[in-house]
Amino acid sequence: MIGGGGLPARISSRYYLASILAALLIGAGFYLLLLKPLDHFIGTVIHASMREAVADVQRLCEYNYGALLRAGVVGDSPATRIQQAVTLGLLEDYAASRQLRIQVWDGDELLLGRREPAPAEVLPAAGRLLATALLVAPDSRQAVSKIDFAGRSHYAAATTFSPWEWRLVVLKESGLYQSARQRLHQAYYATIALLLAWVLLGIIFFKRQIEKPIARIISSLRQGEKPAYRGAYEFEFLSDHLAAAMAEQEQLHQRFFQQQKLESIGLLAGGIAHDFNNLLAALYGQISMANLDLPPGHPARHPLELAEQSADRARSLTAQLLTYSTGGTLNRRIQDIAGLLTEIGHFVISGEGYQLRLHIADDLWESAIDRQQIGNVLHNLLLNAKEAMPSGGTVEIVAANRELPTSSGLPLAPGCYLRLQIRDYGPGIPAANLSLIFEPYFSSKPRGATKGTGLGLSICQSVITRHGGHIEVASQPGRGTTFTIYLPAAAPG
Amino acid sequence: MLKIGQNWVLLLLFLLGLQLAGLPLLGADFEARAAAAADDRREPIRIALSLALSGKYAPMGRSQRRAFRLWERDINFRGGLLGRPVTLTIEDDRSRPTRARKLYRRFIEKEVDLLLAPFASETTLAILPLTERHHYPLLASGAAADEIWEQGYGYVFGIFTPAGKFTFSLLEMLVAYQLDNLAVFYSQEPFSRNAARGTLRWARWLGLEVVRKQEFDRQRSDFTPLVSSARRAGAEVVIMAGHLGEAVALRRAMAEVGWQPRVYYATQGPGHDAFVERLGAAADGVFGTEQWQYLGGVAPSRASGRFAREYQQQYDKSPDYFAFAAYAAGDILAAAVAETGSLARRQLRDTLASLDIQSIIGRFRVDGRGRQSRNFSLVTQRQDGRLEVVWPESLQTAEPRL
Repeated sequence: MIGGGGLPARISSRYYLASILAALLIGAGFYLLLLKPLDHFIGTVIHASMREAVADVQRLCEYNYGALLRAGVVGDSPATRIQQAVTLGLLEDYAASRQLRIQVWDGDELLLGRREPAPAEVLPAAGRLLATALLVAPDSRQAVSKIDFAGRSHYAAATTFSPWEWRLVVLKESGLYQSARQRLHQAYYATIALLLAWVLLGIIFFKRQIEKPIARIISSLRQGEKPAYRGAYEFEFLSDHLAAAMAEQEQLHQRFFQQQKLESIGLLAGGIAHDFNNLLAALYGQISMANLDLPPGHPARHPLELAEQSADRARSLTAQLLTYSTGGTLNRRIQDIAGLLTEIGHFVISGEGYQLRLHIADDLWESAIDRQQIGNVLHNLLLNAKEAMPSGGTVEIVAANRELPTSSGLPLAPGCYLRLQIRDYGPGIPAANLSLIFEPYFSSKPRGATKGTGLGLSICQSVITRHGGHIEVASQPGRGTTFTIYLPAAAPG
Repeated sequence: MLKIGQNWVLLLLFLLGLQLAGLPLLGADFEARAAAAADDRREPIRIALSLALSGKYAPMGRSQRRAFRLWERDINFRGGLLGRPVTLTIEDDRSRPTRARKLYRRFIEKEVDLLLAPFASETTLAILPLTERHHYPLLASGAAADEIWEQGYGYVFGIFTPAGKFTFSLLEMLVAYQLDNLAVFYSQEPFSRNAARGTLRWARWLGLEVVRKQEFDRQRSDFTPLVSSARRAGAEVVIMAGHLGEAVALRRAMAEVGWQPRVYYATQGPGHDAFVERLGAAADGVFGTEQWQYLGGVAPSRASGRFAREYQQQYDKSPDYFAFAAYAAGDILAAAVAETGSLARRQLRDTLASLDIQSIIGRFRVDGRGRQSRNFSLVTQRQDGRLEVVWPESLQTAEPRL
């Protein structure tokens, strides 16, 4: 799978690729910037050391020959023999102290050092041995050669000392330098091994710590389940937030379907109520005309009055249905909600055994509302709260300002809202009923003259929604119920 | 969720704690050392060595013991080393390398502060593996065999001219006097073997002819066959690479055979009083080697003159070059300790490797292997009961009698 820019799409493949590239780069950098220059430096040191040794040898010979000349000794004489012997002794000491091997040849006679290697082995490498000049040019790396004898590798350089016709070969075992070079190479291989180990460990770590958690989260998402990863903090955080987002989405879906359902019901109910209202008008007319034709005290007047009363109730019901379906006409004005709450609260929550607690923010914002309809909503909710506690109790009204952020978890646009809460301490609403409570004709109360029509809360929801607000309920059995209303603020702040 | 992270943090904290816990310990260690050092200041510095106080090297060993005791007296008189008194333990190794090895093992077990070398190359070679292993720097005040510095040891430093160069001055003299035919006899022990090897090499370089060379058993008592073989080979010069007893025995063999080469030279013996005591008048004419301290009886420096006088006063004997070497070893060690400022053996080793001073036996400066590289020897000859310097020419107190 290849992603954008020719890179593999999977993050793991990208990581492996990057790790291998990094390892290769570090390895190459280590080799080019450290090992190679060090190797070259060792080579330079070897050649410089050999050149220096040859120069020292040459100087020793020159000095001792010069001493003879200064003493006025020329040619073969006992003094020359002694000075040559002294020189050979000094060369021997020099070789020992510098861990070198020096061969001094006088013609075919070996004066100093071991016979091995034969001069023929060194000569081609050393160049023109018969010249009197120093054969090792100061800047010539070729002047030092590498030869093998006695099973060991040696660096070799040669010079001549023509006054005594000596040929001098300086040999140094390459062991020390070789081991330094070997150590360098070992260091390189160790670095390569460490880098490979690093890549391997990186892959293992990536697989266990990153790829697996991501795969688990993705697998849950693919199966439509909420991810429930537990482990590394970052993935746990992501998993929890994804799960929360999914839950919120579910709620939104439910609300949306609920809304759709209510709208459909409202449309249907509105149509029926409208037609029914027309029929009721005709019914009212007929009853009125019948009443006009009947003399007072006529036995038929009573049934007609009963029929008129039923028609009144039917008209009230259709009015409610129309309000639910269309909301009626909103007459919104900026209102002091605090006053409305206090007024309705005290009106409804009265009587023996009932207590009202008001917690209304002093700076409670105003809201543009239809006072009549919102008053009905509050009235309805407070009445429900009171009825939830037949033997009395405390009802709380809490009103505060709230600024909702973008993701408030509510089906509301971000902005300033008044949050009104009506809380009772009654038996609460069973969890099974909570999701149905705003549906039309759902009621936990028995139906009858003193019973509700089942339209109260659905109408409340309709009114609040039409005001651009939101109503929700929270309840715990035995602990009471809280209705929370959000209304858009008119002039926040 | 944070389990792994917490473990790592705990591990790091644990390691950090260890480090921090170690600091007071280090501090305590440092304080203990400082306290120990303070105590050390009151403790004497213990130096130990073995010497051949009996056996074949006894004359040289006893001579060295006298010089070491004189040095011990003088160094303590001067305030000791690093402000601490010095005690010198000298044990008799009976001229036996195995005995010396036991003694030095015991010294090391007792953790003496410093060691000095025994007499004779073979004995020194026997103890070197031990002293090297325990990093004791050793001044070879009784050994000159080149072999000592060919083993790769790093803690042994020469005082004498190396054995391989012992005879160079003599051979130089032979070239000057055109004496070309040599017979070389040498004992089966390191110093003698090395001296002979050096002689043969120098002879070749100087164009001298070796007409006879022979190694002899250390137990050999009859040297007349060697003398006869040299005579038959037409040798003009006989060189004995050996010790006092062998030098005496070869001289007696010559008298027995009735043959006298033009030059009879012995690497050790002719300069020693015991040589004269044993040979009497026959000691006359024998060539030998002296170190720098003897310039025909004239002290080359005030220090060597003072030592010679005090030795004479103390023991009623004149010091030989072994005595000079022993006293010089003490002085060189004292100089190295003073320069190092401690008895730390590795640092002391480094100081000795680079030290360049004039001791009572000559200049002390070693090469990269620890071999003495600056001292040189003199050729002496007993003439009318007196030891004369006959070579190098510039230091001659008398012409050689050939």
